[in-house]
Amino acid sequence: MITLLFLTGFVLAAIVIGFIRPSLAAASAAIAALAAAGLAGASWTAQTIILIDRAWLPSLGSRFVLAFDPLGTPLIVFVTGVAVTVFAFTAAYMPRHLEEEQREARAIAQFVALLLAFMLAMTLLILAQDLLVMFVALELTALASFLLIRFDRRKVAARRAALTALVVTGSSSLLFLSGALLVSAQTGTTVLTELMDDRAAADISPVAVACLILGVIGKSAQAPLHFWLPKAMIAPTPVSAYLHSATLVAAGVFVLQRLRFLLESAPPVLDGLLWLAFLSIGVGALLALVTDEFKRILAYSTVAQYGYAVALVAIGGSHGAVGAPFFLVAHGLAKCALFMAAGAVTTTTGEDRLSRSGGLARAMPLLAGASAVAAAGLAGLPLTIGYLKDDLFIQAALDRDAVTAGLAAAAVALTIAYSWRFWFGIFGGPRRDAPRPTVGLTAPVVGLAALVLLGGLWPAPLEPVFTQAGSWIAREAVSVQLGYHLELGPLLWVTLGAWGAGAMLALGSNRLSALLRAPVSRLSKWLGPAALAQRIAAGGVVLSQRLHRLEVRDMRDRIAAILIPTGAFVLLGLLVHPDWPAVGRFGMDDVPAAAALALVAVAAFAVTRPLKHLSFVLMLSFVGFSLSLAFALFFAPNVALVLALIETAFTLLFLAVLAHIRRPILEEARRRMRRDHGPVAGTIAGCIAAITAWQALSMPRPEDEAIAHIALSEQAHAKDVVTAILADFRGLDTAGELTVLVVAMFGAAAIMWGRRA
Amino acid sequence: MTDMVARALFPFTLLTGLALLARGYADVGDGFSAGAVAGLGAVLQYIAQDFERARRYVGAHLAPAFLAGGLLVSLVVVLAPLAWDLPPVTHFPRPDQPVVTLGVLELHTAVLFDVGVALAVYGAIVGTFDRLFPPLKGDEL
Repeated sequence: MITLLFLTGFVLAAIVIGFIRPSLAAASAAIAALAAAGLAGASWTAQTIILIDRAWLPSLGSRFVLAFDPLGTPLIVFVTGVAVTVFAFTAAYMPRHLEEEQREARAIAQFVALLLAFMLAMTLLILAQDLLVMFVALELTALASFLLIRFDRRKVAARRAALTALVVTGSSSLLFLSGALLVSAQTGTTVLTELMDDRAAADISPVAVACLILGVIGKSAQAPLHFWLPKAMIAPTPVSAYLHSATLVAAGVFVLQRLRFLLESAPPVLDGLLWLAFLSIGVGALLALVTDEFKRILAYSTVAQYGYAVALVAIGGSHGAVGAPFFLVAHGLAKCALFMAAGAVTTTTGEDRLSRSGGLARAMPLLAGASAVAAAGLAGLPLTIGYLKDDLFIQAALDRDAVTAGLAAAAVALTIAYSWRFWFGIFGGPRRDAPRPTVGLTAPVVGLAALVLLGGLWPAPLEPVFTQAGSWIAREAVSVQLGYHLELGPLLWVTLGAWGAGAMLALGSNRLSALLRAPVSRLSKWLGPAALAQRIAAGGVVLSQRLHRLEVRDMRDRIAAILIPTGAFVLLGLLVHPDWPAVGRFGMDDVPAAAALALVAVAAFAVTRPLKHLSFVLMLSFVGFSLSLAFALFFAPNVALVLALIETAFTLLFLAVLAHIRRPILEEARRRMRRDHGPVAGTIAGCIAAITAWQALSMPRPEDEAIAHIALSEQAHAKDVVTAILADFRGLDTAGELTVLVVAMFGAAAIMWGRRA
Repeated sequence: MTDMVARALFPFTLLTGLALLARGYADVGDGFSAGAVAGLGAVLQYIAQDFERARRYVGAHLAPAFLAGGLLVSLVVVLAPLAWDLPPVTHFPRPDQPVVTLGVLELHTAVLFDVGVALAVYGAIVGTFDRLFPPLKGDEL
């Protein structure tokens, strides 16, 4: 708990400092992130440490549980640690960016605060041990991502990209919520430790599992929901480097790892997931090979790389279990460095496309060297941490079968090809002169590249950490050796084969790219999810416009648009009701009330006839007053009193409003009043409503809430059940309604004042 | 004459509202009907009297305060128990505790909640009609 307070405290302090002294925003954020990383690192143990466990939504079996555990803690260290370099980069990058965007320099405080808020949301997600808490955290990350992508809000493309990202990641979160609610209904809990009990897991249906999984797939930009990621590259580079390479997209895969235990009972879902992963690898790699913009290449590469991570989760076993969390860290380090390198080059030279750059190695040797190490890390070459991720990937694929191993080798080869294309396209080729990037832009890339190298040269400290994380996923002790496996065997042959193929593809990457560009672009125009989504959206707009035109023709149509579907559903419910047409008996006692109701019906029918406005208002009030009489005769004096009062107030209100409308307008409206099927439709609807009400009211059941309320009233010290319900049993509802009333009143008053002004 | 009668009636409508509120827990009536009765008494003033005089008499300029104050009272009653780790809408005295009564009036937090509802409803009715009445002239209907 204290840890949690400290962590939040650091972040809040950094935000406050940033707003007071914008020039210190990035530096204080970097210090806060460093402190958070240190705190999380110091808390690492092989056990789960509960930080907070509070009752939360008990009716759904949900508790607010946050904990450090072997799976989450390394990722928190990574997320907060990478943030340090991102903030360092921000300090050098953003002032210039804001200047280009013609915005005030102090906007950096806002930017840094959003990044910190995202970091906090991501930490919450990793700590969460309950499905509904995870949902809230996922939504918070989506919200922060939305605000960050549209940070340059004057750009239409930025606003549009932010909306696309929000719609895709937000709506997939709703699928996750549906899954969580299904789990809650099936097992009575959403707390992970309780769900891990085999008996609870057996009750969870594959549909619920599929909802949860599909809910997070979109977050990790997996095909076919990947299209939001390349669009999001319009965001300032620190956002791409932090959210769209290392953290936000990792969130989905991380949740997948958390919920791996649910998948064990659903092998078809696992198979589907594996195919989806290879689809993402293929789509991402192909697009990364033909795209021209730096950041978009990296975005497509992220789509492909998270395909690796999803595949590792789907394959499972010891290599899959250790590989999945390790992959997030290894890939994140390299990709974050490459994003920042791309941003540094664009800021310095103004170019953001491969076709217009190249040969910068001499002009910016340090940046070229550091990004070469990062690209090697992405491509999985030896001596980098990336080698270890690919090694685990190929081993896991070999554990499964030969086909998977072949696909894995192809994936590795493609990664080498686009990594080379990216690096060589910027830094290789004939020498070109350019200004040297500032130290602030280069240093974070160098720092991350050093980590990529260090992880590859000295993997020993990582082994226990990720073996524990893997054991958490596999729910049994697993052991994997992180290191170089040089013994002859399938692993070495597949690795060497993949490298050979990768080298050939890399050398011919220019020709390959030219060859693929036309077919890929044609295919994506025809079949691409963006095109498909556009077509669906266009169809939706046409349909919605037609419905809209039908609906808003006049007041009657508008009411009919609500009542007809409602009536149809109620009728359907009545027809399939097993007791149909069970209604209570009609006795002599009911005659007075029935007579009052008949009066209501006559008045209601009369309202459907075209009348003068004044008569219309009076007739309408007659409906209300006779209804009030019926309630009084039904022994419901409280409701009768309230209804009579409301009716009086509304009659006066109608009259007062009518007095404001000029007579010619009223006469014109009266002329236009149509004689249509209103009375017929109204009679049918009224009959259905009457049967429903009769059925519900004439046969009270012992379990009905009303009877329970009568019994409870005495305990609530009330002799009037209705008041007890309104002020006590349903007091929260009443308070909610009252809030709506007051807010609406103030809103209406504001509009009227506005008009007068 | 009409305006004099109307003026004389207003205290009585307020009294009726107060009675409905006080008796709400034991008999017909609650905060809503109390506020509505008082509000209708106020509307009568607008109908019978000169606009400016009516709005002074019924405290129309206080309508926003009635609305906000009523909501505040209700929300405090509903949410205050959270501060003591109790669920929202926990009323006192609890079911097993005795209630002090003054005639029909029970000293119970649910009654206080109803006071808030009554204030807000009165504010809503007076506020609405105060906006609608000014240009109204008898011959326009």
